[in-house]
Amino acid sequence: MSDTKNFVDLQAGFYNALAQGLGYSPSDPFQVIQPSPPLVSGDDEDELLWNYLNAIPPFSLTQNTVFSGGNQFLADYQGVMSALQAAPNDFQATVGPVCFAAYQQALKDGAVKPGPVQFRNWALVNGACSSVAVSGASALARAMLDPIFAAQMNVLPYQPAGTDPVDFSPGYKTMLKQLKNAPSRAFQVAAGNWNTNVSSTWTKGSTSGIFGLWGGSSSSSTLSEKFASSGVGLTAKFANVLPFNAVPGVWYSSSAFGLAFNNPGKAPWAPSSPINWANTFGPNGNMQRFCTSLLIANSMNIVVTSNATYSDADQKEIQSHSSAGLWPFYSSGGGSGSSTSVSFTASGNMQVTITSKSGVPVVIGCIVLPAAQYLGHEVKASELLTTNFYAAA
Amino acid sequence: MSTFDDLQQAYVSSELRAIGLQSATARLFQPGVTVPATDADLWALFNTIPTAGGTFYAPSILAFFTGYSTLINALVPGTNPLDPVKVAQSRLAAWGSKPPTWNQGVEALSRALQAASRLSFNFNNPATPDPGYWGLWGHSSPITGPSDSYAAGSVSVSTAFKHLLSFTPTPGDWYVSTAISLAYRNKTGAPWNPASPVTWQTTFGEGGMLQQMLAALVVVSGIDITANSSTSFSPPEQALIAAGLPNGLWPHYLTGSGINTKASFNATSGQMTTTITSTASNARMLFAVVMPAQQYLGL
Repeated sequence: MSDTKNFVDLQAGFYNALAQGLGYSPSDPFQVIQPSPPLVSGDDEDELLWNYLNAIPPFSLTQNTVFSGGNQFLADYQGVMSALQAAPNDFQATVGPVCFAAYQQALKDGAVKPGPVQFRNWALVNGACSSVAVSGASALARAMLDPIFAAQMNVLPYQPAGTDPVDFSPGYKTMLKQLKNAPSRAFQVAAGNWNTNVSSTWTKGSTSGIFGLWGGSSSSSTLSEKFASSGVGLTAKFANVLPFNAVPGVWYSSSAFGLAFNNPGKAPWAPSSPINWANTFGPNGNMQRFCTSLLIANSMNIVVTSNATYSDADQKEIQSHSSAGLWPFYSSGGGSGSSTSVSFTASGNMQVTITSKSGVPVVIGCIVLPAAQYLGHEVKASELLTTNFYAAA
Repeated sequence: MSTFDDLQQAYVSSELRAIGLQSATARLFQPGVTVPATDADLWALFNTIPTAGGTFYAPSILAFFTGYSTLINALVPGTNPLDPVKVAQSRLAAWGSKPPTWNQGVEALSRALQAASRLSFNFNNPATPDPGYWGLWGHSSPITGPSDSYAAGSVSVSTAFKHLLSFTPTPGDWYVSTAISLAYRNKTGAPWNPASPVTWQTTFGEGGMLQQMLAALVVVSGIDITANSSTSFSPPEQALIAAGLPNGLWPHYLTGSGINTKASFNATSGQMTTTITSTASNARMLFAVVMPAQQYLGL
């Protein structure tokens, strides 16, 4: 237990305090998400929430949320499914090449949902398939017992191969209901009492997204250093903190994905595909870890006091920046739910108060599982499936 | 003694620190130009492949869309309907020769900018002692002209933007991130076509067509900049500066409608105060964020 010497220390101390305050042990794969704009309800509320779950998280104790068009769960998962080989089945032979092509196109266009009953109803009124609607449906039902074939069919309607956007379950409205019933949390750290050792955390201290005193400032700016090195105390209260668990929609099949993860270099991987185990799950792969659970807070009240003495000029500079959000969460909601205020005592000590409105959720962290754990429970199932479908491999 | 280059670098570096941008990825717009008025013009900017250097030039010899299309069409698609290369090729074919779009346009930019936070910072570049070296010939001053003498004095600038936005749209339906990411991760072998002249090296390597991409624009409005200088300008120098005003003044050299630039001189000392203000509705681009392919692809 010590004082923090610089901003990196302070961030580390905050990480430990928050993780512990929320009931996690130092070795749990907890990631702080900053900045945390409020999730305001509206037409795009589900999309806003699911964006967090669809982003592949970096190897870092803190994550700056910038959703790049680069590395997303659904699109990357669809790529993996394309690299897997389904066990032989007679669906294509039963319906013939013309009907098969028409069916695949209809799946992509969203004209029919995956599944044998859906196929039969669609095929009955579709010229190319109407004569094989019933025989095709039973062939499809047999084929879909193979998890790879079923997974490929199920993800076909989704972007980018199809048109459906990514979804998870549940959505925003359920999350809000759960949040209001979630337990409250509170913790405090007195000045000089920070635990800044993050060497035993899941990343061994590796962190990529550190801001300074206010959102977007440099962690090595003079004021940030002054703030971090002069005795910082923190009190945090959350009316509700919800570990929000959501599962991917019908586009995701854990058994097929588990088969892929647990069988590096062999079936069901198609040897000819450029997508393989190493460039997916390996050290340079695009799917090494997943955000499985979001930490969402309601009615947050955080008070940070700094024992440093700030000059008039310092005070002006800090106040002018407070709208970008101040440490630790940088909630720059701009009137949409959260607020940050800075005040100075007569002797020049600073107190920052960050509050978020009741009923306006704020994402403060996520639980990051490496692929091995995310898909670990699939080991037994994968062995069974491998014996049943790929015994020759 | 600071040169003008030193002054500019010091100012830009403190501005980037205040914004929270890494200097390695930020390119300065010189001058700070207005945001394109139409979606087509804005997306044309995102469609350029920026050249190397500290300032942003978009020569647009080879556009991002063209480079991306060249890459995707040179790859060998798999047979599976879910194959990212196959999906990317069919999306490109469906897109045809339409100009590329991004998921957000000028309206979304304007809405986000109005909701964006204020940012302000102070900059000080104190004069350092003159080492006393001569210029090109004996007994001549190494300082010639107003730019040199401005930089050699103390300069303090207070900069405020009522709104500052980092605008990061993602490419539209013509683009499949997993396909380009796969090509990046597999340096050789599939999906690359061994018979094609398009290789990892000509795409992502040194001088390659997709070595870096424009990922974001830093846009500001409600600019309020005041710069004070300790340098004494003679009346002829003052006249020279006044004559240069229509080209915009340091920093950012803003000109055009909605920008109000003033340079006033102290009657006795000849010291200059510059004020540059803009209206809240006048949006200007200050920096382009240019990312190497690996970072752009989130790898």
